[in-house]
Amino acid sequence: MTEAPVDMTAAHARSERLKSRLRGRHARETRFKWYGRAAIGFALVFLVILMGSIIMQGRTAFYAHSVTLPVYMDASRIDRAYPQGANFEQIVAEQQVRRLGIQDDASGSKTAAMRALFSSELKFQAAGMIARQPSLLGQTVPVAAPLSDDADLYLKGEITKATPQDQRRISNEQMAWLDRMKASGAIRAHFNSALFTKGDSTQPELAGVLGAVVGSALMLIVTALIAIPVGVGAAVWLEEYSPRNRLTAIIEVNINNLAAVPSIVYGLLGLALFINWMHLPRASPLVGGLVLALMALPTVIIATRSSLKAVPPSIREAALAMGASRTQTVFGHVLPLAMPGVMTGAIIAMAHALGETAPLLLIGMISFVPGVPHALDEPVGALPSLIYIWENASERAFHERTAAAILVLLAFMIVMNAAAILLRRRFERRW
Amino acid sequence: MNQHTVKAYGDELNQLTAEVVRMGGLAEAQVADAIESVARRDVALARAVVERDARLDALHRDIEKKSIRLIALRQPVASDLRRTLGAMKLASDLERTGDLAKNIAKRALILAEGEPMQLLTRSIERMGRLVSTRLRDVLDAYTASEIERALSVWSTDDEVDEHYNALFRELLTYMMGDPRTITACTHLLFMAKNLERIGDHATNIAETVHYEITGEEMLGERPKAVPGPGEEQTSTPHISTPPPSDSTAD
Amino acid sequence: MTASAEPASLTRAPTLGAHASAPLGPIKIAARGVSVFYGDKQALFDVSLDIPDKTVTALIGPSGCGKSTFLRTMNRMNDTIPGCRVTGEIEMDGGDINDRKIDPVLLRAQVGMVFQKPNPFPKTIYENVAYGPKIHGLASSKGELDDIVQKALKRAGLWEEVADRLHSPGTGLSGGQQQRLVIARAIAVEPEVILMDEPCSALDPIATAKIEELIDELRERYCIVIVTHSMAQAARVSQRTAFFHMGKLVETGDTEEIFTNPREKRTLDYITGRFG
Repeated sequence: MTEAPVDMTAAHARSERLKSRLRGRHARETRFKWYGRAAIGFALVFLVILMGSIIMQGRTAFYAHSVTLPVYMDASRIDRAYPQGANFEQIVAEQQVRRLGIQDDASGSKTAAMRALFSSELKFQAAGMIARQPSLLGQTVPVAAPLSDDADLYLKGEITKATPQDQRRISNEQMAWLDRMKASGAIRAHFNSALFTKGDSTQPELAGVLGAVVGSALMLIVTALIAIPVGVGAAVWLEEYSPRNRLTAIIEVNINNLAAVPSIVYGLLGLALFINWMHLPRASPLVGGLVLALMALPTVIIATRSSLKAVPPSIREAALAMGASRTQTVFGHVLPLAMPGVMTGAIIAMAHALGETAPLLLIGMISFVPGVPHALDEPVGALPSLIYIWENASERAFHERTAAAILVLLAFMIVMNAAAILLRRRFERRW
Repeated sequence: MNQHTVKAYGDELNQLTAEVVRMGGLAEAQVADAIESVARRDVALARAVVERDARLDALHRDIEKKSIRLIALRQPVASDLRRTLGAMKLASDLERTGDLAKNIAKRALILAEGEPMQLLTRSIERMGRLVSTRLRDVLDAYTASEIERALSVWSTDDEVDEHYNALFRELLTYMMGDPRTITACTHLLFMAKNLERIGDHATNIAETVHYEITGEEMLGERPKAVPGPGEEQTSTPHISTPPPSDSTAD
Repeated sequence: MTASAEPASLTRAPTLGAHASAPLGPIKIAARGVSVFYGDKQALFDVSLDIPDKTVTALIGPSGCGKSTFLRTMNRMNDTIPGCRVTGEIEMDGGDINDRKIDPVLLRAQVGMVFQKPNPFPKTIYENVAYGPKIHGLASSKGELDDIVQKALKRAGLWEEVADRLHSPGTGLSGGQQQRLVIARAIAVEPEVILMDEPCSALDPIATAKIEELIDELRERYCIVIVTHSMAQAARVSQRTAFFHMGKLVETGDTEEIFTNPREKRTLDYITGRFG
């Protein structure tokens, strides 16, 4: 039995070799884990920095200051039949100057300075009150209105005495008045509901994202109504029905390429095709939706195709063997099973479309659109273009509002992605 | 024939067949030695035959065990199944042959004590040699898978019967002539009967060999000599007409 | 066997075992000169085979020999494979299945199929069995549909086990139960022929035995063709066996004959394990 000792040493050497390699392998694994952790940490740091800076910049937009002043509705200056014609701003400013015991000079500059502290909304509020209740004429009623954007900024601490007075928008005198009004309780801070209930405006204190949100929503509806049926239908046809030949191979390649085309090209296409050739209304949700649908279509097609491919062929065979026609098999069995993937793809495509700015610029959604839209063929704004407009605006107050609008857009996208995940989970559990 | 993909299976089948061949050789030797011990009145040889029978029994049991194991573990089909079953049947026939040879040897011991009866023992010898030859031929046919040889053994079963009938008459005549020889003649008669039975077993083996090779049962009556008055029919009839031999197997 | 004029195997007196004792039925499907091409590659070469009714016919042979391909010609499942071409005649009930004018959807209501891996739909047990009758419009009321489902499940030997959970998912059953569910689904449309493509290869021995027993019972009403890798199963379950090799039909015969004394050397080599 001479084999035994030889085997022993061979076995021993082999186990030694395994052990030494084992150390190296474990070390490599540990290193790799740390690399992964470092990468994630890196990404998280950037995310925190990004979100942090946006939040820091935008948090002040979520509250605003309003003033409530008792206003004597002077019947001699207000026309009962046409209250809007009255110069309420002047009336209120004069009364407030008097109330604060300020001596005005001959040119009325103090009153003008006081006027600058209140938003133009004030006159609409007052006029509206009179129009509704003409009996208020001759009485003193409290009127509430937002402060002007510069006054608001001062109270938020954005305009300080650190800057020389001739470079600021609020003079020291105005600052003192604001402080007095705040101390007396006439001015109070509250949640800036205007941000969410009003459309865009040239006055920052009256500007809100609602118009852009509704505009984006209308566009998304148009996009979804076009991209999803067409995309899913095309993918079903390509995957289940079409013969595998040269033509379909070319179509496939082109769809994959289209998904990578820069979005501004779609904007150019929209401009040339929908606006110049088909004369559809510029900057309308219809055109915007069409352009975004074209952009989202390749994504929907690709996502649907891969979900369809992932359905095991045994399901198709079982259905066909039972005597189901091809259509019954696809729509009764394959598509329902592919639904989670299809929905995820559709929602992600929509979320992308929501945030695209370049095509919107080219179809004209760059211009100022006041108010809230309610039709598909009117010009609207969209969230991304609103952010662009506000960022480029000269008023300082738009600075914080831009960040707030970005946060609104991000919230929108998070909600959509969460919806995608939830829907996917719900459909998967069903099967 | 190709090899079995699972070599052990083929080896087991070959081992089984080899053991049957060995048993056959031993049985052949037993028969030959038994006849010889009668012819030469060789007591030592006769005793050896009687003792060796135990080996045949052991081989029979072993072959049966191996066959059952093969069937249980390998589930043989078609030719392999026929081979296994054939081995079992052959072992059974060869074990009976050995018993019959042992019987002849036992009677030879008894005869050796009495008077020599040259004439009669020579007839036994002749019959014995014929039977021995047939046994050898059929075992060769088994070993070599030669169907022609098996068929020729099968179809000449009547020769043995004729010998038996002739011996029967001869012994009767002898006994009637000299009553003192009755004991010895009776023993000789039993020996002749045993030899005839061995001949039948050889024919059985021929039928088994044929089935193993072709997969078809042998149809037809075994050729039998017409029995004389008082002799019993020992063959088992088969149905229909004799088949043409066909070369369907490899 | 000696050559004889009539198909001797159909009238030969049986010898072994009760399961072979019933005489074979009339010919249900007659294939003549069937060849199958996948593009340029030919998978079946001129196969002619008779499949008797109320009988289990087993198709055996090594991997890739064309037995599954042949099975699938009988319910035109090869049509679903792009580039597949079937030539020759396959007669059933006096008509050629292979004729382009025959609608495969209707054919598949007459010829059902059971696959190797149990593939119940991801729906409830009830919906699985009811699917066929629903799409072919075999039930005019919910009550009728319930009856059909119950009958099919009983015939498949599954009713006892699932009667109280008809509305739970079919995918929640064990492998053997799923396969029986699939069989129930196939027989719910009252087919005339049931094709089975290695139905037990994914199941354990007990489930396999239950399926084999079920096949034995189903044999009394349906014509069954089963493709199997296991020769022992073919020997146990079928009355007729056909051996395929490299796309050609090598030998057909009664199962008993094939497994005790096949005519062809290739058949003998295959069943005794001498291939390769």
